[in-house]
Amino acid sequence: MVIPQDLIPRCLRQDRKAQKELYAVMYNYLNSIASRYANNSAEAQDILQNTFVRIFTSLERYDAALGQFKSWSCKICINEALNLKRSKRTLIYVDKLPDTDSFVTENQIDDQITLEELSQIIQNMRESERTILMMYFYDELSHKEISEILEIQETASRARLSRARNELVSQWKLIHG
Amino acid sequence: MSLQEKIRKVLHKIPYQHDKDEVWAQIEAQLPKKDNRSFPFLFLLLGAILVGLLYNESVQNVPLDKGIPLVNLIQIDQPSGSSTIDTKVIYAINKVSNTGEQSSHKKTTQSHSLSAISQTYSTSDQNTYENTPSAKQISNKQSIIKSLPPLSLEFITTITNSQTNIDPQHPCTDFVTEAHSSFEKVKPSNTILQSANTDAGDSVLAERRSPHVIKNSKLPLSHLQLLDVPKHGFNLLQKIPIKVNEHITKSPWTLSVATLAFTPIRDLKGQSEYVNYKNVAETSDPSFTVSVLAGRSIINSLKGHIGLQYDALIEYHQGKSTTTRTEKINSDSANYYIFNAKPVYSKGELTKTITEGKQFKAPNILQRWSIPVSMSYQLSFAKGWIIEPNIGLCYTFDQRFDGITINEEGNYLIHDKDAFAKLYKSSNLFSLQTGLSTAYRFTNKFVIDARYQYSSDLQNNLQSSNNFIVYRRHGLGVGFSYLIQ
Repeated sequence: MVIPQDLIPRCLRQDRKAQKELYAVMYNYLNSIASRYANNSAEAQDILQNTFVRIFTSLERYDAALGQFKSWSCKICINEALNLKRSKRTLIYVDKLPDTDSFVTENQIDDQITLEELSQIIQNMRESERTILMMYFYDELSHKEISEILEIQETASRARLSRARNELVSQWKLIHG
Repeated sequence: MSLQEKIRKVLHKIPYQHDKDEVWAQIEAQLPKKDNRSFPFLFLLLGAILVGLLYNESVQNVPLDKGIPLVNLIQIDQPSGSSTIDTKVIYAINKVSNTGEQSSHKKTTQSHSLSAISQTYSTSDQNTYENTPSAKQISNKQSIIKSLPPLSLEFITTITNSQTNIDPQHPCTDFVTEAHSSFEKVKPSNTILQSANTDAGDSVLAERRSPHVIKNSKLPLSHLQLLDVPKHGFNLLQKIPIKVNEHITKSPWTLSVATLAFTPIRDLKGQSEYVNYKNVAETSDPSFTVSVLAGRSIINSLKGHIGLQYDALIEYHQGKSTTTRTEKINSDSANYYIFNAKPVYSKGELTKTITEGKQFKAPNILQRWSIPVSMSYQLSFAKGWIIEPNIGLCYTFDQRFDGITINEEGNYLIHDKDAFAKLYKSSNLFSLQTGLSTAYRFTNKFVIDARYQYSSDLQNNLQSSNNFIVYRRHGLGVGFSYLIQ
């Protein structure tokens, strides 16, 4: 994904042709993000549309010195996905730690858990936990970036990821008796 | 494989497939449109400036009824060889003539009338002139003359003054004010200043001379009213409205209002004196046109227009013609010089150099009411932007002239409608109009355009078939169109 140097300045001038060019360049990347966060195709399309509209209308806020355009647009896409979920009230934040009697580290299951088990566990996880796993492990966002997107404290972001991991381990333990 | 890699693999999802163009169409619908409204407002600003300039120009023109001041300047020199005293005399006289006003409205082709006359006489001396009270007053008055605003209509004529008085104790007063008074202010005022100097040279007078003094002209005094061969010309303005409608099928009717400023081009043909006069002394001023047109789509982008058009064609009629002659005058006290701080008078013969002539500048306005009929073709070259060439005929059903002109006999006509009617055609004139406009549709209802327009009369503007005057003009303008759905 290569963004021509003059494309963003042209988009800033509301050059429709340039906006369409940028749309074409970014489509696949943002669609993959939207698809991961969406539950279905329609939701993914909504996320995608909202993301591009937000990008074009907020482009003047983009500062190349603070990061790549790809990262900036990724965060916008995730934000839009979460906003959509919030509006549909499908995202439930649970601050209460799940009941886990035993503490199992990730290292213990790294080698033992299979992809099928992992997929089953993640599908059964709460969406809030699945989202933070996705943001942290897949999109490789830092806790600071996650906290900005989720509008929470950075420590809260760490705590949520920790809960998600614990849930993962505890569910794996349940599978294996 | 680490847990992170496993999670990534599990979370990886094949993206959903969407119709890319459909998604873009929905995105585009939510994006703000590019703001191009600065361009229409630039057009508006340009139009306002043009109209303002034209209006200001017309306001500055003083109607002929306000009077025609006439300034007479006479230079009197003592022959250098006949006396040791070289004297220059400038007489300053103000004279306002009632008869001039009355005659100015006579329907005559013989001459124009002078509604106000100012005559200035004074005597200057190179060395002592500035020390005399009279000289100081003259100097003050001259400075006042320069400081006064220029008259838009002005006649300057030198004539022989039979009321010359020589009285150094009563220098001229208030002649400047008189010179600019209207003709209804009847207040004759004759004043003579004189000074003497044994060393005075001709150059002194040149320095003291009023800016209106004209030398080296050839004009018999008896033909004063015909002195100048004024040029005559008009600026002719016409305008062609242009309709811009991006969606003709949806808005077949348009109503447009436009104003244009023109630079006139006047074609003069023929060999008569009258036409020759016009070639010499007229200057064209930017004129303007205002039109209201209704337009309708004929076939697709082809549109027809008809409406009402007003043209104001402005020109300045200027004339200047002078002659110089000398006369001998005898006076017992025409000369003096300062000796021991007292004037010493001496007898002698003076040679009076008289520069005669007149200079005037008058606004002439030719007003036309016309019905333009035109066709245009719309070409869209960008979103909201249209280029529209047009061509049409303009039928003038009323033409009026206001100002000064010269009739077939070479005499001046001032506000003489009957005489003008004999000279100019008052109706049934046709002109060809063509142009190109660039329009921008900034709302669903309103279109603004900037246009270039060329117009040329198809007929002689004069009654006489021997002479031939055709007005042509080209100019820029702005217009508004309202689209009727």
